[in-house]
Amino acid sequence: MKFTPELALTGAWLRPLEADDAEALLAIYRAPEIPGQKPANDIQPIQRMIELSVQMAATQRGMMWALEVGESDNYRILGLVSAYDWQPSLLRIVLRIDGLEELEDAFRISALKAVMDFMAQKYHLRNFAYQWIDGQRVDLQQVLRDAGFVNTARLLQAWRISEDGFADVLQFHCLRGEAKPIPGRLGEQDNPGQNLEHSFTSTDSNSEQRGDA
Amino acid sequence: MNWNFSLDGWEVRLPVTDQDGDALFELMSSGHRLEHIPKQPLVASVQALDELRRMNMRFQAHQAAFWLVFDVDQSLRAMISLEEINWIQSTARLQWIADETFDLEALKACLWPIQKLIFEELELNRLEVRLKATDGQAVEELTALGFQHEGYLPAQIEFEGLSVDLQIWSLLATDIG
Repeated sequence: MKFTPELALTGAWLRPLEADDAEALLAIYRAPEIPGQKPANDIQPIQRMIELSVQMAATQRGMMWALEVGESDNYRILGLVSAYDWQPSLLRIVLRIDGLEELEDAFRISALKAVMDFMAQKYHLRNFAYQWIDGQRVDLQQVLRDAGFVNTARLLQAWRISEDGFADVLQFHCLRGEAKPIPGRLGEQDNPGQNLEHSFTSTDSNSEQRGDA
Repeated sequence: MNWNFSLDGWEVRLPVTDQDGDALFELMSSGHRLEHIPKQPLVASVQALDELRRMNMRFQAHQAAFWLVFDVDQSLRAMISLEEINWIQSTARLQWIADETFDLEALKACLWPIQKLIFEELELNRLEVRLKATDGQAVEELTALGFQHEGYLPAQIEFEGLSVDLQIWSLLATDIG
């Protein structure tokens, strides 16, 4: 069963990670954009991450997409979009994009918007966070603003960048305006007759077993 | 490492599951003492036992630590908790619940050895407080204790039908010298 959908963007698309993506993802993590993150050299953790991305989505802990840019049959992975720290009952999640240097900011913006649209519609999430870490490209803050995020706090020394060094984190949030789902008891909002049709209108073995005429 | 402190007029110690249930229930059954978190008050004494068991498990797992503050009469006056310890980022979250007579001076006196333990022995770098209030006693206390206001985290929880923003404050290891 697929939990991570393909999301179309203009000139790009988001798709679930596949085993063949390991090399392309390793290239992204060879030049990590998060301060303090060591450049990756080993492909095994990347392969493991691809495997775990399926489990993350299945258990509603997170979701990961490859961000491929190009056209028709000529796409190339330039980024990785991650949704993590998923709190389904609190309707919130944290987003992050790791990209190669050539990933244009316009694709970052459209990818963030597409992911938020999908998760707001499918999983009713209403609060999307993004953490910009001091040392990242400063104009990423404008990317976040253009995607609908607002800076709400500066967390002092909240991110470790070395054994005894810490960086500030700018906390961004995008709150969605859609109405929140109304909580109810299990089955309360379902059509009570939803399964009856399948149970009693068929002329399959059920009716034969009941001895119906 | 010593987790219990005998201070002038106060005993600050880790909870004991079998003996502190009634006192903890008394402390946490009053709603307005929990408004700043916010958290629902306890309504049955068995909940306090459940809280104590969870505290014990989280302490054993190195995720959190909880201290009960008793006065000279051995009455429970406050609970101070260190939660969501992140050993990689070297951060943790501080919280306290106190009765109405537990004033700023008492809080300062009881927090001091805990802060020293947090920054010097546990070697954490950042202590964070998240609270609902934008003004009132808790804010005055945080300011007096040297915490800096960093901003807010919007729509963090649903409480009594309302979406609650949490104000965020921090104290760094370098702040206490």
